[in-house]
Amino acid sequence: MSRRPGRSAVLRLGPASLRFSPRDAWVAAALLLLLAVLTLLGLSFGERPVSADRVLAAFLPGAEALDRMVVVEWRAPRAFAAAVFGACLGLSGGLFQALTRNPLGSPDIIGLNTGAYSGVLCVLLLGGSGYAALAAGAVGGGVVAAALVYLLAYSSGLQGFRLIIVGIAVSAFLSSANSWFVVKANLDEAMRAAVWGAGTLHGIRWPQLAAAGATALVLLCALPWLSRRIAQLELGEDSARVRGVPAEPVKAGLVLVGVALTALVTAVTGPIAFIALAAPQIARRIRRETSGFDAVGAALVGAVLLSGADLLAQHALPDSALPVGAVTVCLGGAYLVWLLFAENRRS
Amino acid sequence: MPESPGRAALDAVRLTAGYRAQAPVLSEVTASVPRGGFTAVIGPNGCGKSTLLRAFTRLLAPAGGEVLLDGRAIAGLRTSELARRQSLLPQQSPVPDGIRVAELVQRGRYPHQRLFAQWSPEDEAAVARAMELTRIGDLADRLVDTLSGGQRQRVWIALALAQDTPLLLLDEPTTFLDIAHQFETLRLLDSLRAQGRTVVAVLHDLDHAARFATHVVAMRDGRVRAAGPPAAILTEERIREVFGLDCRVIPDPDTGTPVVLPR
Repeated sequence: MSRRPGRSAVLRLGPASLRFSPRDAWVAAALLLLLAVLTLLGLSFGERPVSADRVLAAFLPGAEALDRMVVVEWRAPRAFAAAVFGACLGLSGGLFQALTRNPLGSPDIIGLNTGAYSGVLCVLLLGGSGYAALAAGAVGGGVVAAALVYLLAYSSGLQGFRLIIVGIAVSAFLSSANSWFVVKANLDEAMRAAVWGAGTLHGIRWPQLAAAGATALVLLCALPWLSRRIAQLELGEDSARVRGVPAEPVKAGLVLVGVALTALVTAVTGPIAFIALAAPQIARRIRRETSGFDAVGAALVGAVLLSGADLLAQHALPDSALPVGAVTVCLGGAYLVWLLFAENRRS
Repeated sequence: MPESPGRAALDAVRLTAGYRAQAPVLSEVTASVPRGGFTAVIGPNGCGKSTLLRAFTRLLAPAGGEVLLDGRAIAGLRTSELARRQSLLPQQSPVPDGIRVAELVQRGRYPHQRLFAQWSPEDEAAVARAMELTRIGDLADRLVDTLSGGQRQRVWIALALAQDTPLLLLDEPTTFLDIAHQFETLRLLDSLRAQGRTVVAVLHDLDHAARFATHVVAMRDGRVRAAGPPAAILTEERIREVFGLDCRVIPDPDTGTPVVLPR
């Protein structure tokens, strides 16, 4: 065959071989470049602007103490967190969309964020405070909500559409419970809940980023394994099972990794909506040529989106910084309207 | 009725199977699939044909009895081994968005691949062979979404062939095709059989079964009513018994195989 089918290239090393698409590699390189630019902007903008060359110098030994403090200690954790967390959210959305075969299947739509918020409210109402307690509440709430949705949607196998509908219902129920909690809480607790609920990257320091990043790295190890099986599930479950893919365990694994990726972000930042929803779809439209679950694209687009949104949140209004959650909700709302129109036109 | 186990590729032995909370769809089915033959499974709607295929491929665990693959119980086989020995074309399969023909066919190689051996020369060769046999080489770069029904069916068969298994099972492979594409598909299956593969297909059209099958399993109400060579099974009495249909059976003037004329 003269043309290699599927427009893929193969890397060989002895018996090992790795297949990739050159076009995807170019797209990834371009996205990485964009992400690097956004990160650099994040490091240099602020009350005390630092020029690009001094930003890079600040990381090297012998840097000026003030530059080092501003860039490395204050801005870098936030800028890097935007990239890492954006990637986690994008991946999580990609996994849920692959599972549900629906562009609406994303952790924020099916109630994980609302569940995490419920968890945090419970911790606050029980008198808990401090970063670790709130993070534990967020993870616990997210996981409980996910388990609830999974079990309610499970009926001799997990079906994507059922998962979304049940998720929306659970989300609605939890969010009314959340409102009730906030009304019942005293002013101080209600304020802290509202701050957490807005979703922000403000105040992130290296230890939080390191903990979240390490967790993310562990979860990433599951992705190559999952990706190959997702490609089989796309061709129908019976067909996948006959080729040796255990459908239900793979889907449960998908839910688990997807929930964990969202939870680790939400625990640190509070709910940041719409990155998970939009990133995989935008990646798919950029790639155009190929199909299938694209972990790299979803992660990079997520990182670019959250980095961009956080720049806007910090610098769009001259005198006041917004929580990044507010920015993503606005961008995401516009995206959702566009998506509904686009899907409508298609069908 | 059943052949000696040594000659059969697949055997169902007193197989009882069904879906949760319902009466079993198959009750005590004993049937065998001769190695190297084209076995047609026929019978009225809801008689358990698809369920038999699902039990043959271990998609459905039997409530009683067992399925033997080359004389060994499939319940004890490793999933990866089973996937290298039999493939299934389901009645309908979803087409992933934006997928191209070659990419879809390549996915059939999954059971032969590892995380760090994603594309071997054997993979390449098997995909090329599958696409050649199904004559879809020219379509390699086309979007599957844009193909006609007949082309699409050839792509799905190529996917199953790329899996490179000695045994190929197909659930109603001709149902949604026009008559020309039905025959094209059946001739393809016939040529696969001639090359040594064992083919099992659920068919609705008795004339097709008569013309192409080497072995017919006739089912009714979850049981096997008759099994054997087409000429022995496709008779006026048997068809009345299995389908409740009055008919005449005459020999095809060209091939001599039975032709069913409903009355």
